[in-house]
Formats: sequence, structure tokens, C-alpha cells
Amino acid sequence: MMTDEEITWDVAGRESSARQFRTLTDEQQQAHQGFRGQVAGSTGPLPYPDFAGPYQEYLVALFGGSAEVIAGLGGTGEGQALMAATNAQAEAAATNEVSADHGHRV
Amino acid sequence: MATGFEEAGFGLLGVPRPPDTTELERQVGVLESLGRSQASVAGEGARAYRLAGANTGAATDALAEHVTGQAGVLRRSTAQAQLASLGAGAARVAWNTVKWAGGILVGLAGMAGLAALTPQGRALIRPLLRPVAQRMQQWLLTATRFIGRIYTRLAERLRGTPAKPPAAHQRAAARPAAQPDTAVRWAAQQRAIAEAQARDSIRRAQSSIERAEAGRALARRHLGDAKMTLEVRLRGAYGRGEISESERAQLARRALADHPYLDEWMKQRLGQQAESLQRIDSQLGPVARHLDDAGRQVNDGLGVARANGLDTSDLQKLGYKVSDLNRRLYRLNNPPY
Repeated sequence: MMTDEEITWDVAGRESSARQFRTLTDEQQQAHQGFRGQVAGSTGPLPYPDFAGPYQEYLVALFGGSAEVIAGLGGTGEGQALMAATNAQAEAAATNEVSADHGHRV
Repeated sequence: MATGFEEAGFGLLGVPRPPDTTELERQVGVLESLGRSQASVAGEGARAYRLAGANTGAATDALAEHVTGQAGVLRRSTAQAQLASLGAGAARVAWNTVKWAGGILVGLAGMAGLAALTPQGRALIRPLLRPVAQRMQQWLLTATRFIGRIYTRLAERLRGTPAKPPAAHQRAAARPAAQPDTAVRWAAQQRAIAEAQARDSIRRAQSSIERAEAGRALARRHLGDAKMTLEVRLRGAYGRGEISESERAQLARRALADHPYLDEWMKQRLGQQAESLQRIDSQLGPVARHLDDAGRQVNDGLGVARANGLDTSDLQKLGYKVSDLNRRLYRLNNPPY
């Protein structure tokens, strides 16, 4: 649907996009937990303190980073879904108005 | 016995036995696949984003910045992937280093053990073998410290902040108070061995089961996504009058694999999903054996522990875990649909 202010709505596209983002988010969430499970609980791969300390610190930062990326992906999916819902509502309202003017329902 | 020579040799040389490198090797693999997984996010995310590509306007622009902009989530994911594979590379270097230098130390220890057998040999240990072994040990410490510094740098880049002062590593191992009774000590050792073996068997079984469960769930999701996209598109095409009601019904029944209303990449992914499901299922074979092993090891440990009045709570927990995994394996082999 085109409007005067050069705004284009494609509700269907947004809905598909939102769903794909949700899948991607869940997929990454699963992978993230899998990887973390594979290194968590281990006493560290080498007993040298000058290696073990920084290595653990690196793992913590790495998993913290992927958690943030996953949150960002989830937020994007929600954003698409929200915009799709808002656009669909507005579209429905506009359609009803037009139909009312013409005196029949679509 | 070769290891006897080595054991004595390490004492004579005054250096510790080098660490086992199998855990490090395993973690190299974990980091490598983590990097690959995160690298795929950028592509998948861009494709998912493009599905909404027909939209324009201020709100759409704002979302685009959030997704594909300089500080956007896809770029972030690419950076993460890069730092994960750098970390994997560093771990591989550490693994090679410790394996190589450790191998030399084991060789030197064996030589020292042999040399101790004769007076002539004993005379050589202090001036000849000891300095080389000590230098090698020093080198091992220096090399791993160097790699440690690389990890500090990588962690800084991951956090996007300057380094925080390194926290004192508390690895004060809680050593159990020495048991005077040798029989009890022996029993405790047997229990610990059974427990460790059971944990290992459980870990193997668990990772296969989790992979299979995740794979099944993912396949269902991809199929659902494709169906939903198709439905939305057919609804749209019908709404715009591009197809008739009967064409719509006919298109809705068509196989997804070569559906004209689905993107090429979606169809491709459905195909890949089917293949990976087959691969996962074929890997479920040895799981039952791992679980049998785990169950037996738990029972062995419980037997020894009960006979000697030792704590059994950890072993019992492992037993519950084994029955939980058996239940999940049964579900995977007998899906409810």
C-alpha cells in the first residue's frame, strides 16, 4: 500500500521477516547454549595460570557478546512483527473507511 | 615399563609432567564451530531482513540502521565470528606448542629415568639433561603466557573496553582431608573413577541427543516458516486479484520443494535440513551404548560407595541423568507423530 508521504507498507513481507528473525534468534540461542555447555564446567584446558585466567576471561567475553547479538536479533524480529501489526491495523482502518464511503463492505 | 622411567625422570629433572592436551584440542573444535555458526548469522539475517525489503519510510530506515548499520546487529555478529575464529587459532597454536614442548619433556624424562640406572648415566643428569628440561619448561611457561596475553587482547576487543585488571585466579583446589584408612581411600578412588567414567559417557550421549533434538526442532521451524511465508504470499496474491480462489487452493497444495511462490534459498534450506536430519539420526546409533556404559559405571560406583559408607549423592544424580537421557533417546527413536 502506498501513501502520500512516500511510505510503503508491505505487511506480508514484514510478517515473513519477523518470523525468519524469530527462527534465527532461536537457532542462535540454541547454538549459543550448546557451545557454552561444551566449555562450561571444564576446569580449563591448560593448568598454566597465565594462560588459564585470560582464556576464561576471553570465553566470558565471547559468550557475553553472542548473548547481546542474540538479543539484537530478537529485538529486530519483534520490531518487524510490531510494525507489521501496526501497518495491518492502519490498512484495515483505511479500507473500512473507503468501503463505508462507497456504501458496501469488501 | 616406559612410564616408570618417565615418572622417576620428572623427579630427577625437577620439572612437572606436561599437561594432557585433549581438552584443549576439543575446545579448539568448539571455538571453530562457534565462529562458523556466528558467521552464518550475517547472511541469514540479511536474507530475513530483505523479506521486508518492500517497506520504506522513517520507521523502516530506523530499523535498517539497527540491523545493517555500522553498529548494527549483523555487523556485530560478523565481528564476533571473527574474534571466535581468532581465539580458535590461538588455541590451536597453544595446543601445538604444548604438545611439541611436552613431548620433548617426556622424552627427556625417559632419558633421565634410564640414565639413573648406571653411575655413568647418573653423572650426566645434572649437567646435561636437567638444564635442557628446565629451559624447555621455562619456554613452555613463556609461550603459554604469550598466548594468554593474546586472549586478554581478544577479550578487550569483544567487550569493546580497555582491559580490566586481571582478577586473581582463585583455583584453590579444595583438597579433601587425608583419609588415614587406606581401604576407604581406595574405595573413594574407585568411586571417583566410576564417577568420571560415567560423566564422560553421559556427556557423549547427551551431546548427541541434544544435537538430534535441536535438529528436529529446527527442521520443524523451517518447515513452519516456509508454510507461513507461502500462506501470506498466496493471501496477498489473491487479495490483489493476481490468482483466483481455485488457483490459490491448488498452489497451497503444491509441494514446497519446487514451489513458484517460495524463494530459491528457502527451498534450498529445506533440502539441506532434510539431509542434516538424516545425518543426525545416523549418529544416534552409538548413544544407547554410551548410556548403557554410563548406567553400569554409576552402579559400580554406587556399589563401592555403599559398601564403604561413602557419600552417594553425586552418583545418584548421575543415575537420574542417565534415566532422563534414556527417556529422551526413546522419544527420538519413537517420535509421537
